[in-house]
Amino acid sequence: MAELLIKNACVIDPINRINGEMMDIAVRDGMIVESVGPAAAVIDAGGALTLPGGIDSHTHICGTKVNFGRYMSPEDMRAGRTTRRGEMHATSGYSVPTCYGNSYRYSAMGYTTVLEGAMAPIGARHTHEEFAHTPLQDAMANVLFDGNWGIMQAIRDGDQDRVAAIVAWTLAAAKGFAIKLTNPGGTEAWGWGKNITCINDRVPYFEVTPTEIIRSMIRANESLNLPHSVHLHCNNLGTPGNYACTLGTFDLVPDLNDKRQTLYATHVQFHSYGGSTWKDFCSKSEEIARSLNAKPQIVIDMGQVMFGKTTTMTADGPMEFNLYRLHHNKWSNHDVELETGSGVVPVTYRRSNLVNSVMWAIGLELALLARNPWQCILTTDNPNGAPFVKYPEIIGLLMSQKYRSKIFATVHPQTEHRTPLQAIDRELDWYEIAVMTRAAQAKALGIIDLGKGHLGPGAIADIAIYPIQIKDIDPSKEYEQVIRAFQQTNYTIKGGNVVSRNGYCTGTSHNTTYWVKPEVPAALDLDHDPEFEKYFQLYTVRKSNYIVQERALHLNRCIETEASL
Amino acid sequence: MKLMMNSGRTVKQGEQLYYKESREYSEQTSLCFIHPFDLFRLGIEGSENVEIETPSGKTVFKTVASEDVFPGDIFLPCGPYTNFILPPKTHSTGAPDFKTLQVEIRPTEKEPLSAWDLLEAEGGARYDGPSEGCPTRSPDGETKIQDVVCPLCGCLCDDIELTIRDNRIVACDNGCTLSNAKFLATNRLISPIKKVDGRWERIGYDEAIKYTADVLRTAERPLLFGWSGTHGEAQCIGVSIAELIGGTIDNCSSECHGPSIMAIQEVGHPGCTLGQVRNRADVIVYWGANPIAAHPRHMSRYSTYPDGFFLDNSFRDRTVIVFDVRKSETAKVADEFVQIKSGGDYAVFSALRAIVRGKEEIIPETVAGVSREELIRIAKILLGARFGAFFTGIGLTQSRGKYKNVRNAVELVDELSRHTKYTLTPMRGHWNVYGTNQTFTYMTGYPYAVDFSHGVAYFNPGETSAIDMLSKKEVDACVIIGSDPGAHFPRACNEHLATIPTIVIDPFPIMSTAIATMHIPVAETGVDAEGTAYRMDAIPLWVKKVMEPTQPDDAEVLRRIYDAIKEAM
Amino acid sequence: MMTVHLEVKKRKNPYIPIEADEIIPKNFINKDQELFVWRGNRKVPLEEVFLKRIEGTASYAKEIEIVITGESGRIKRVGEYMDAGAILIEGDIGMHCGNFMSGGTIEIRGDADAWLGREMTGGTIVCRGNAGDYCGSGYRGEKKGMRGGTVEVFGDAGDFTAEALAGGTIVVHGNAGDLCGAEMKGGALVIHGNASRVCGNMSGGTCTVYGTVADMLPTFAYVGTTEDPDSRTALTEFAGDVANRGKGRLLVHSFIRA
Repeated sequence: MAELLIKNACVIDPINRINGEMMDIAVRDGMIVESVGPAAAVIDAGGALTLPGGIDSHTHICGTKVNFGRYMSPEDMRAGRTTRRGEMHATSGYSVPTCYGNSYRYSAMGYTTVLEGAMAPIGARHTHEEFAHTPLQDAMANVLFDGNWGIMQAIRDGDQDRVAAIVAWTLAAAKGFAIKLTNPGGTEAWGWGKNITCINDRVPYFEVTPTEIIRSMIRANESLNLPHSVHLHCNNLGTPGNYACTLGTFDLVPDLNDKRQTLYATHVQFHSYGGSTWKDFCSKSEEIARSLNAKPQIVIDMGQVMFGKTTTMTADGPMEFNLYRLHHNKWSNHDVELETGSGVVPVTYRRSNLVNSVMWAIGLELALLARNPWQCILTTDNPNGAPFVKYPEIIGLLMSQKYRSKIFATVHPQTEHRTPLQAIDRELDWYEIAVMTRAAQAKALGIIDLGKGHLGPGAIADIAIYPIQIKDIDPSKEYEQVIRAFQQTNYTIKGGNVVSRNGYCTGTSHNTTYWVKPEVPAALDLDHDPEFEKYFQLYTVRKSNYIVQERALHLNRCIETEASL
Repeated sequence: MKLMMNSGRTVKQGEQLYYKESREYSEQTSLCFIHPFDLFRLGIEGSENVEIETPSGKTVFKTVASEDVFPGDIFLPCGPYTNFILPPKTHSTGAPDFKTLQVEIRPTEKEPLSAWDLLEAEGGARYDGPSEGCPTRSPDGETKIQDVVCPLCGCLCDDIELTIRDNRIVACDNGCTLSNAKFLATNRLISPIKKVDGRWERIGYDEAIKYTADVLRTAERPLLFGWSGTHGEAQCIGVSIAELIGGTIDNCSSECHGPSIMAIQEVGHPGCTLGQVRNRADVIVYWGANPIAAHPRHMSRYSTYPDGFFLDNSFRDRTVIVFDVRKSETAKVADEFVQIKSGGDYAVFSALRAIVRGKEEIIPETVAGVSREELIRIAKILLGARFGAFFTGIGLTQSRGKYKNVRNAVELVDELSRHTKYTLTPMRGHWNVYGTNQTFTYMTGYPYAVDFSHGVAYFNPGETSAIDMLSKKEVDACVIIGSDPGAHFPRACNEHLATIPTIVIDPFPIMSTAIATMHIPVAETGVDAEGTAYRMDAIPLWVKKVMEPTQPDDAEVLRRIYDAIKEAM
Repeated sequence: MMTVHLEVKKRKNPYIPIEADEIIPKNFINKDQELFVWRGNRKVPLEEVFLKRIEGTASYAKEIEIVITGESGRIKRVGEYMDAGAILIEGDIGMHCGNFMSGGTIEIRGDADAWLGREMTGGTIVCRGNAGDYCGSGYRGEKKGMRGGTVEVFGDAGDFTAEALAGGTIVVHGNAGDLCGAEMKGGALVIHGNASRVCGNMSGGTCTVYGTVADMLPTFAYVGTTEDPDSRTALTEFAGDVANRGKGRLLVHSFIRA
């Protein structure tokens, strides 16, 4: 029986409505408990800010396209190399670090749970292999359904039960966590070198629209009682004027779930653009925030852009091709049969570039204009907007108008005519930051009941202690201290074990993969469905080899749900 | 007489990969395919012997008259004979001139040596005792196992059906001839062996592991080479060993598709999974690739012959174009064959790019033996595709220019993608060579040739790649696993390996055994060991175990070596 | 002024590479500073590989000359990140000499191995013998090679010389290898001897070949003939590479088509 007592912690735990209380946290066998015995090991937090372990609800760190980002970029690998040190393995990479690099750097920042934003089911085994080498975070993966032939056919045939059945079978086969739609319909069109411009275009051959796909998948998601909602990357990412498409998409979303949102819209910064060309490109963050504020059934994440080099990667193949044509940098693409696509392009966001400056402003505006922090999650869509190591700087920007103004003075001078950022004086507080970096994620992902994202008794003991005394500093002025504190914890504790101490990580591996297995009525079980067998012959792998066996996973936890079908 | 040598895969050579001790292997890899016109110039007929010489060495081959090669060229099957005369120079790219190499050829009365003779001439000692049989165990009676993944080539066909009886595989259905040959191979090595005074002695696993750990721990420039023939889990442990000992870990891609990776690192990779090609492609290009010999089911499973969802009559609706320096088996079944002068691929890519950009007026009358009109006609076919797929082979990566050929191919595909849909897929050879690149990349950041000598990972093919390190005699200890440099490395490399502690980890006695100091046998992945592998299009598949092992697998042997090193540190 | 004499000692295994990126003038301002080199995977004091002898004193790097003698053909990374001063190598030098160099001079009396002056931004390298492959090139995956400074090779240079050259000047007095000036974006490449398949995919800069280009690439557009003012040689000018966007200049004395 391993016991630990964290004394003198200044706790912010939004899920339990604790805001800056000095308290002790007791841990037994990896769980938070009411109290522990006198023999417990003691960590004296000394009044330092203590939060539940950080959760990234949308990041790209494991899987085929992430590894492609590494593989094609030896220049990025050499930009961030560390040697083997104690139990820590050597790491490489800046914007797309190696598995160990991601794990150590996230852990140093207090993150204990990550969600890989996009996993093609046919490549799921790869993502799980990398999860196994990401030792300091629990992990889960969104499964891509945006161009799934079976689902598009079922939607066309009006067979909603079959849509749910395919989702259920595929999630369990891929050992995935949630439904991801990336440019729904667009990735299939990209199979012919084409794209979908907005939600009412028809997908070639399949003759369904993104509207139909999104609506049907939301229904399927809720009928399977999945922990997370549909996780959507809207159509038309990264093009001037796309905010109208985003607003139209938001208008499709009913409010079907009383515990969480019905739609998670990801990296909305990239979808909040006004103008008709890059010449009159401008921010439409106010319109997007207004829609969000009126729709509690939607949660978004920022997809903040920060200046510097990074690597873009997404299942949105056609978008990456457009990016390649803009930048003429190297371009990788990987279309996935019957399912989806993907692309990778390295980019540099420059302050001297007006478009990049406006993008930078939009992300911040969304976070500052969203009234409810539970509805706007802090992300960079790592590494698309910036590598996740920039999160502390984003926290600094959200907490300090002074810091925002300082950076604003260095961006393209036209930015102020294109964005409302300078007129926004809101400064987020510690509680709101805690919401946006862990609590809102836990709620949005539906994992509070699994003990994630809070510090109440019964929770998994994922705890981050940051070297800062929040009572003593004014983040509005002393933002540099805030940034430093969030860059490196004193302690990151995962499952009751200290996994990172002042940036020095232990190699101990207790990471768990969370996956979902919806139980459907026998008639909808596709394991023995002759039509599904026939459909599977369109793949170049056998159905039996497509399924990721449970034993191929590292430690894992299966979430069984009962479908209402 | 001076001729241009190209070497590559043949079906017969591939069938003998797991029977290298056999006379058949020696016979099949000592052939020299030569145009009758050149035979006439040499004053001999087919099936006579010639001595082929380069500045690195000479040996005897048997000629086969073939009108498929250009006059002035010869084609040699890859293997120990070709490599016996191959200079180790890689132009600092990691890959030697397996193709487009100038050689001197003359008739001779001498007979070809055996493969073992060549390895002994390189400083090795043959291991050619009688077959030791199969150490695998099966249940009583006959068992059939379906959907088995074939651990032979990068196609990773997963529809093989095996019949198992009396502790061995007795039948293999659905597989190609190469697959059959591998599954039915039984000449495994039973016990670890150690070379003592030029003779082989049996030893135990404990001694073998301790020896290997001691050698690696004390070496200043250790090399861990191979990995394509084992599973991802073993590769991960290999990386950890390299990190622990400050060693270099390299993969066979440095001499095959490493140049494709270097090209991708410059310009990216517009690719797709093979099912996209199968279901959509109406134009298929094989460039410097001969799947009929090297990936026998590629055309029938993924590209040319299978039903495609979006094609009415798949076979008739697809146009297959082959670009090659010789009329390969694949070229013979293609709709279009464009024969390029050896070493001229780069120029042809450039010309096609310019034509696709609308600059056909500047193209000269002929480019590397291909007429301007022909190029313009082919460009039209390419542009007329709804979905076009390029498959590029080692004809590009191992000929002059190496990765720049592939880069130019990628840039042609990028250019075509502005007009219609195009993708490119390198025809990865070994079943898990791409998996090695994937594993090394997520572990170290780099796909192969990773040097940990300073503690951090450093990558630079041409410097940290095996052939360069060995031919410069840098390496002072070497582990060979899941690959056979004895058969596939230039002579100078093997000669160096024969002078240092070299440990082979492999289920079978192989050519490299001869130049090793020790050979540790292991269970064979796909037969009595299991793990992850990646197909040539990055699809990960679980390679099954179909029988019970009596030997440890690669991962277990490596784990024990790792633990022994760590304990002694 | 200070002269640092570094004589390579005889080694038991002379084939194990030595990496000596700490051998740059500024590291010797303080004579007593401990310096290390890598011998394979072992970090060893500089003195274990070199016999060191220092004459004079210096307050600035520019006052320091390092003279390397002995079997130095396997010593890599000498002069890496050098910004001032001088290095004279009496014999051959290993790979990556003068990587990222931004100032000062390096003279090599013998041959230089591959990647001479890789990614350099300033300063001067003179190689009296031959240079290996990738002279003045970039790193794998990086878009730019050498960006500034001068490399002059009196012998021959290898394949991929000036790959992705983005600035500065590379002069080869002998022949250059295959695919020189590939991906060139800027700067000047001058080859006094012969070369093959020069400037594939070039998008900027100027390359002049006073000898013969073998296997001249088919995608260079004829511009006209000019006479070189210095050598009075007639040169044919091309624009290319048209397979790319064709913004580079290629001047050749003569050529043979692929």
